[in-house]
Amino acid sequence: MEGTGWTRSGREDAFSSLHPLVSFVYFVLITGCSVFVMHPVFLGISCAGGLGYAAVLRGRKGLFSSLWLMVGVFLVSAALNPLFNHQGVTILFYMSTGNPFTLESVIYGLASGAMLVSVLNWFRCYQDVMTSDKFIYLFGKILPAMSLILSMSLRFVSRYKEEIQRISRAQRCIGRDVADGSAGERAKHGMKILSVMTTWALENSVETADSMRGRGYGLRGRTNYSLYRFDGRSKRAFCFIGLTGMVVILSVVFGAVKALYFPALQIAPVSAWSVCACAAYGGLSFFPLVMNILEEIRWRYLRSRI
Amino acid sequence: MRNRIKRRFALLLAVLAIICAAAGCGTETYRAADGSAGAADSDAWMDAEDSEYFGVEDARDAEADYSKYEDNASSAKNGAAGEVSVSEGTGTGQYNTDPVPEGQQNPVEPEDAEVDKDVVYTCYLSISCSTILDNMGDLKAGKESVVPADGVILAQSPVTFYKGESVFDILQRVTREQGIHLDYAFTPGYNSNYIRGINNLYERDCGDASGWMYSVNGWYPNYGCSRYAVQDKDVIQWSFTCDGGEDLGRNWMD
Repeated sequence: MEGTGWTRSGREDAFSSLHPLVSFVYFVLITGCSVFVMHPVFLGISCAGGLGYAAVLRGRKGLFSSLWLMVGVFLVSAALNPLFNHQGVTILFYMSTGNPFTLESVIYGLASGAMLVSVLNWFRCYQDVMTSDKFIYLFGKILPAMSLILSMSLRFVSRYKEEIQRISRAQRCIGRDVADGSAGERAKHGMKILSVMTTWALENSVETADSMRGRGYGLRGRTNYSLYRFDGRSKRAFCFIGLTGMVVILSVVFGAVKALYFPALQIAPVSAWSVCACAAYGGLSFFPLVMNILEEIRWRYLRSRI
Repeated sequence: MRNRIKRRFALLLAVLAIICAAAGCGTETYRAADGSAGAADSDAWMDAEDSEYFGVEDARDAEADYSKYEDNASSAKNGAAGEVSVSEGTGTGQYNTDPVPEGQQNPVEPEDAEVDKDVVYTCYLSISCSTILDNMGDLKAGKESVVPADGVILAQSPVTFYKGESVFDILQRVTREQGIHLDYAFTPGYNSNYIRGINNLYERDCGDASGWMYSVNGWYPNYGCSRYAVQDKDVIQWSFTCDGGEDLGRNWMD
């Protein structure tokens, strides 16, 4: 996980081993396109790509645990939109409030639900691929204080969760966990655990501060150790992402993949441009997945020759 | 299931209402500080800047006349069922609206309106958006398809209605019968429904000061359409404006 090319589920991930700049540019492009382009084909591609890559990174268990959340987000968005948005030329029926319930608002609700799900998945992937060391490597020079604070504070959540579980386990050994005893005793045990936790957090923050000062954080000219090299693989990947990204951005700017949902569904006609844009966006969305598959094939091939 | 959805819907509405109220408070204080525009018209899209532009009197003047308003309100209520009083041009309107000009019909609150189903009247209704034709450049992308070539969404046609019905009641019934799209929202501050859009043409779709306005017998009432009790042979016109009523010839100085 901490290394460059391993996923949370313990598998090797080729995309994660690229230079941080490549990964960061990729995620900015893909999440930006997912949010701003409401073309149905784009939404489908982005949704599938994000879901597929999240499945690779988190494994089957990770995928299923969040599947309900995604289905929920999708359905809630699709159901709520027509209740508040009455635009659209196709009136299906009139609601009890007197306003029309239109087909276009249902379709828009579905589209925005798909958009939310795809963005959700891409952010999950971002979290796994762009670890805090990569983030600091990229932004440590430009925004030194900001990137340090960000990566440290983001780490607190998981760190405190881990520590509170550790304390809870220790307390359980002496029969003083939150699940032991009567209601009053339980509350008391809970308070005790919180108190231990607070003490630990205070002590830890002082230790961290001392340790960081000892290591020269905040001094001018301090260098960081990093393993990242902008190697040939990263260069090729960067060129591919840049090229496909350029095609996608140009086609969005020139309206080749424009989609309007109100007052009536208006989608830009299929043209050479829009087909190119969809192909480029498909290449961009499935890039991490394809890269993993190619790497796997190459690995098998090399091993078979030994 | 239906009940649950309703309850959730109500809850969401309540939250939205609180947000709207908070936002409304914000604009009120801004207006007071500005000191230029007290009573806003029923058209909610009019912001402080616009009211200054239209040269409405000072806010404090409008608030001072409280006793006269009391008289007016009671006279409106004392009238026989379905009858409406005529303004003497002195009373201050209830619900944030300007005083009703002299000789014009006073508002009837929708909760007080008595619909007499035995008396059937006829009025004339038309819906037009011809001002957009002169401002096609400002029209929101994709809306071109819902603007008729001549700008007439509903040509003037006779409508039968019951005594005591409001302009809104008639608009809602006719648009449903004709399959014309209508989107509205009740605005408690003005005690009236606000027409957000007709035929998928919405407020702000053709410039920031664009939206729907109504006139009855040539007069643009300065209160909402749910408060105007229609009389026999009234001519109701719903028109889309692109610049706050100027292009419809509404005279704001009266």
